[in-house]
Amino acid sequence: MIAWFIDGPFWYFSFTVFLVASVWKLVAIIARGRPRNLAKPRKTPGGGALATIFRRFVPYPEFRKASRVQFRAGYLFHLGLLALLFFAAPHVEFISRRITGFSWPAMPHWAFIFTGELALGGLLFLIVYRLMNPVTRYLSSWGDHFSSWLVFLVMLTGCLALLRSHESLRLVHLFLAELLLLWFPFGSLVHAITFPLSRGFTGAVYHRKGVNL
Amino acid sequence: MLALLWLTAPLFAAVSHDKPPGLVENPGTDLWREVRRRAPELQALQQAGKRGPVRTQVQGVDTTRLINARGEQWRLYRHRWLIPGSLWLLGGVAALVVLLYLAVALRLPPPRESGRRLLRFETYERTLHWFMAALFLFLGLTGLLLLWGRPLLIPLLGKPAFSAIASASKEGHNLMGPVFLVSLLLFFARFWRRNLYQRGDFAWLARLGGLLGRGPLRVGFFNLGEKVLFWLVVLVGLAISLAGLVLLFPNFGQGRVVMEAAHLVHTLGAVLLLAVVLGHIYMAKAVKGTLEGMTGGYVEYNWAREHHGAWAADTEAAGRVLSVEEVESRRGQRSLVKEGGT
Repeated sequence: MIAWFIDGPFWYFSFTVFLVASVWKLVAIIARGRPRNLAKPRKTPGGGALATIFRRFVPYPEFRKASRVQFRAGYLFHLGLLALLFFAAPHVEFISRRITGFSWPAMPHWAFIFTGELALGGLLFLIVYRLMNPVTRYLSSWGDHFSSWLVFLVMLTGCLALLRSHESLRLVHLFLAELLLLWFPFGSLVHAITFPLSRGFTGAVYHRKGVNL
Repeated sequence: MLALLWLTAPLFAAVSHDKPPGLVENPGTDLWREVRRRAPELQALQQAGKRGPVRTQVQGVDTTRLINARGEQWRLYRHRWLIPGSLWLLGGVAALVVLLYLAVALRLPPPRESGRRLLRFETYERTLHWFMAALFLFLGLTGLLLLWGRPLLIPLLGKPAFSAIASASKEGHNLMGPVFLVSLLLFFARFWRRNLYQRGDFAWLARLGGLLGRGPLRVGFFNLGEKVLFWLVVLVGLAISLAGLVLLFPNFGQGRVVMEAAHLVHTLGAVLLLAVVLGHIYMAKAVKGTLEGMTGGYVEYNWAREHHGAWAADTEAAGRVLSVEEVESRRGQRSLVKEGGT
């Protein structure tokens, strides 16, 4: 009964909520547009938007030393998670069967393990860092903590179910992933799809004023 | 005659135990006994470069061996000594720690409040410590589930549930093990300098960390007890990790003996380290004011003077003693700028 619920109705419900709420969020942000500005633009906003989206992938030189640890651990986690999500063999199989209808080459098993280690290690380090650094602890809301722990648990249970020998382990992983889908559009995790908009907006506004970000 | 029969009865009993009356001996017994007996001879031939009379298409370690008696010896050793021994040792240490905590630690007073604080561990150092601690506890838990699970959990949960737990523990343990090694190397790189021998370390030992004698002890950033803990964690942790890698990658031709030795080093080292870490947790909780250094980074000035006098004096001479207000300001809990001021 529980297995049927997790594998069936709850999966469709959480995926629908994820899809509808994420699109709604993106459309709402885009629909707000930019405030009307009558001043003559000094530079093209579009170029600034594009440049800022990419420039912000690395920290400013002034902050490079101070944010070295977060930068490295952050990239390990984000790239690792992205690779696991779209190129782990069980995920490719699941996505092609349930969503896309077609599949693509998956990572070999050793790469899956190695990527899992990098991503989980990076995330665990970031979670501890968030708690230990007085600034990040002060800036973090309960939603931020919840998001990172939920992602961590999803990844961990995925790794625990790696042998694919026990259905119960797969169901625990899937259930947590479904909770993540439900939470995604409403918490800080939504930055995964909104970051180009926020960076682009900042870049466009300041570039228009002649400020290089 | 009766007395003679009575005295020799155990010998007959032993014989009859091997072959219970009414049971016919397996006709293949002699064959398999012969196979087992010849295994070392075949191995000796192989080591000498002669392939011996056994042929197989399966190429690998021990593939020409039909019966390996060492496997049974290892199984018995694990079940009779390793599992109960580790259970008694860790259970005993845990019970002792709880008793000491209730009987002694709860009565120890906190350090006198001076209104001054010293930065003991920076953010990166605290993060590294808890990162490694989290990995160690995860590996310890999953490792003990694998070691003790069969005798302890199967009677409680049943075989199917334990099978899932064991599978998850194995995967989690194998996955996080190499990450622990990385954390250990980072930890070593950060702290090794502060854990070298310094003058006064043996004076600390001679006075059992201040339990004996009078007058202040001149202790630097770490005392000898903490230094011993550091080197134990690093060296035993390294041994556990390397032995774990031998077990994790059995595809490099290591045979049963090497795997058993790696298993032994891995398990004994882990049990030893878990016992030591239980003591470490006790000391951090018992000596009031210690844990604050590893959670918030700052320690009470009086605590530092009492336990690490030389370090406190050096820090004070360098002008790095802060007020409580300054510490709270650094944490973003208070603004030092008065309202209406600039």
